[in-house]
Amino acid sequence: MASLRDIRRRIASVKNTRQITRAMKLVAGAKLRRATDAALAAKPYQDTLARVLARVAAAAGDSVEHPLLTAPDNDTDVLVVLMTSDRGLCGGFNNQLAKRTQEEIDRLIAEGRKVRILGYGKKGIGYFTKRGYDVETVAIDIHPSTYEDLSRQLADRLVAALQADEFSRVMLAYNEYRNAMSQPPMFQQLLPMSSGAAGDDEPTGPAGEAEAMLEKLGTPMPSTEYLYEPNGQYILDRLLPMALQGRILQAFLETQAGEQAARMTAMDNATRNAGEIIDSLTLAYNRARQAAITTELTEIVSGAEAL
Amino acid sequence: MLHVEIVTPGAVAWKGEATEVQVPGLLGEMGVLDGHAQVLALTRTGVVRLQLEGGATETLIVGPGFAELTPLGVTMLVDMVEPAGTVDHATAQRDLEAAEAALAQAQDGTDAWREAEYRAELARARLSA
Repeated sequence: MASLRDIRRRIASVKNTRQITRAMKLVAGAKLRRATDAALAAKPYQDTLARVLARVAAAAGDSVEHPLLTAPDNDTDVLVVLMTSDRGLCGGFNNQLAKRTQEEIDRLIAEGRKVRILGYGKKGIGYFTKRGYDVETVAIDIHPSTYEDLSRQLADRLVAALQADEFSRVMLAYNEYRNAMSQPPMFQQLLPMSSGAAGDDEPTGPAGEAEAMLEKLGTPMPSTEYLYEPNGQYILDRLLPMALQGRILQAFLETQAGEQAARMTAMDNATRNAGEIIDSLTLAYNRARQAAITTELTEIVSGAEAL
Repeated sequence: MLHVEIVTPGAVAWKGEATEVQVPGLLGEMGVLDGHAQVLALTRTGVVRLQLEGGATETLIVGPGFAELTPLGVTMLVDMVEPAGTVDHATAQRDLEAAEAALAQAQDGTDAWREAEYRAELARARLSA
């Protein structure tokens, strides 16, 4: 049986751990709020962009032609943009994504394609480097203030690479942030964009209101026909890179929010577990103390009797 | 009444009602009133002037982006927005001179050139606001 001092030492050490996990949970909670606020603040821009893009694409119909929408002359190379966190202690957040992505990549490789990973965040880069995949470290120790720059750089790079036929498509692997409890891993096509993927949601905002009002008056919307200034093609040329960049930025923001949410859950569990361990250790300590007292008493009494 | 929304990647920068809006289109200034035709226009760095109900006006400096004009309102998606007067005249003048000097040095079409041109346009917009 462990001595009293051993048990006391263990209790102290578990208490320390509990303090750390509790602090980490609080920090993650604060960061999660900031991350979800940032993701929410970015939403109106993305929504408007997606809505306008969908309309432009719909208005242009099948005639729409743009390098970002058409498959390049290359069907061997695939780029995978992988977004994970830089730090661990966030439950299965990185591992789930890495495993899912590995399955997808192995399938692509089995189809005879060459896969190159563009890694953001230490955890994912470490996972795939260790397993011998072709990984390029694009950025580690990523601070949220650099998300906009990073997404602009990545978008520029991808557009240039697409025009040079350096790959057949680009996939994006990240954790989608649904809510604080659920951040499922995603593996989605980033390029070439399909014009439908921009989102066909009901239009909202001024245009949506205008549509709704005209519908009420019984007048059909003057279709969704726009006048373009300067012209449709020119606008599409500008809109598509903006949309690509927006999509990447969104993924960064969701990765950050998801990481903090996952860490909060993990640290909450850890704190609770530490509490349970402390309870059972305290019980063992009390029992050991009582046993020691009883032994001492017995010794005294039997010693007195012997006299 | 026009419903106006000016949105940047980080936030909805301005939202409200206006009777008239002036938008810095790529091909020139556009004045928007009630019942405007549906237009999708690229916009450049410049000044947005809003005529509010009751005669007040609001002047904003905006970065490049685009504007969606509908019969009932204006939605602008731009890089940045700041109220006129955020940067004072003297600073803007200095910025403009620095940017023009950089513009003269840089080679056409390079990143440095684009950067300098953007700064020059921004300074010009601030001066004209």
